[in-house]
Amino acid sequence: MKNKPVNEMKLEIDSKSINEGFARYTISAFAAQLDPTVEELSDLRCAVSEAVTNAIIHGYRGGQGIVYINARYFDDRSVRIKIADKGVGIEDIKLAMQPLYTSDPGGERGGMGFAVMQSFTDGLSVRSKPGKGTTITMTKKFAPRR
Amino acid sequence: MLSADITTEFIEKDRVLIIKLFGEIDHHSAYPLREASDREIIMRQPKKVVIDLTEVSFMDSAGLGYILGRYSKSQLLKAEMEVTGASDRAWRILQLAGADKLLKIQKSDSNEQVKAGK
Repeated sequence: MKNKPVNEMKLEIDSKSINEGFARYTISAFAAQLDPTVEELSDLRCAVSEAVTNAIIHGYRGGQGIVYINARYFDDRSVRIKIADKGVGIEDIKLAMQPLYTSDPGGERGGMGFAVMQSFTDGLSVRSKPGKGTTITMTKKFAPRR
Repeated sequence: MLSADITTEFIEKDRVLIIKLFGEIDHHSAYPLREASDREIIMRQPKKVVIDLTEVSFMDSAGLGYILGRYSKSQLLKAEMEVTGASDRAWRILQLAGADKLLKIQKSDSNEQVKAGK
């Protein structure tokens, strides 16, 4: 079990695509308190962008809703970010996480969202209930400062 | 920049269309970007399309979708396609989807060309 977070923030945003940039910069500004490298922060920004976009276009299918974001960081320089929606949920998480799988073939999204989240963080978990929503939890551990 | 903003410059020379991108590619900015790019590609009928990512400060998998989408458009028009100026992160995303096996991708800060391998 993790010990208590050193710091925590919460953010709720409308499921509008214009908020994708806002969300990733807000989270990265928060995580920047740990003084990570530019690379580490860019990885995090990219992963957050994917998760928030998923909530907006898949969770809420482009419709109205709220994306709930929670970020915490800990003594060991790890950041944990939860991104949740109360949208349609995912029927088959395994299938959804397969690289190149997309539920929206015309949308030109490539189906690589989960693969990017996985590749740019150190831990990813997806919880979802059809009709209830989806929660994505990502952990990124920043290297020790010299 | 708190919402993704992208601007484009279309440069054509000897039927090579260079699409130079400035800013951020995410799901929000990708749609207008792809509309504008396709309009130019269809209008100019180039023999080669080059997407220049040198000035792209952020891109997630929407950028990948944009690139693969323009690749299939180019294929339809029998045009070649190439990506230049890919940052490390852009390169990793493109590679995750195997785009490096479909088209020539040149990374930024390196003269090393990654050839489309068969």
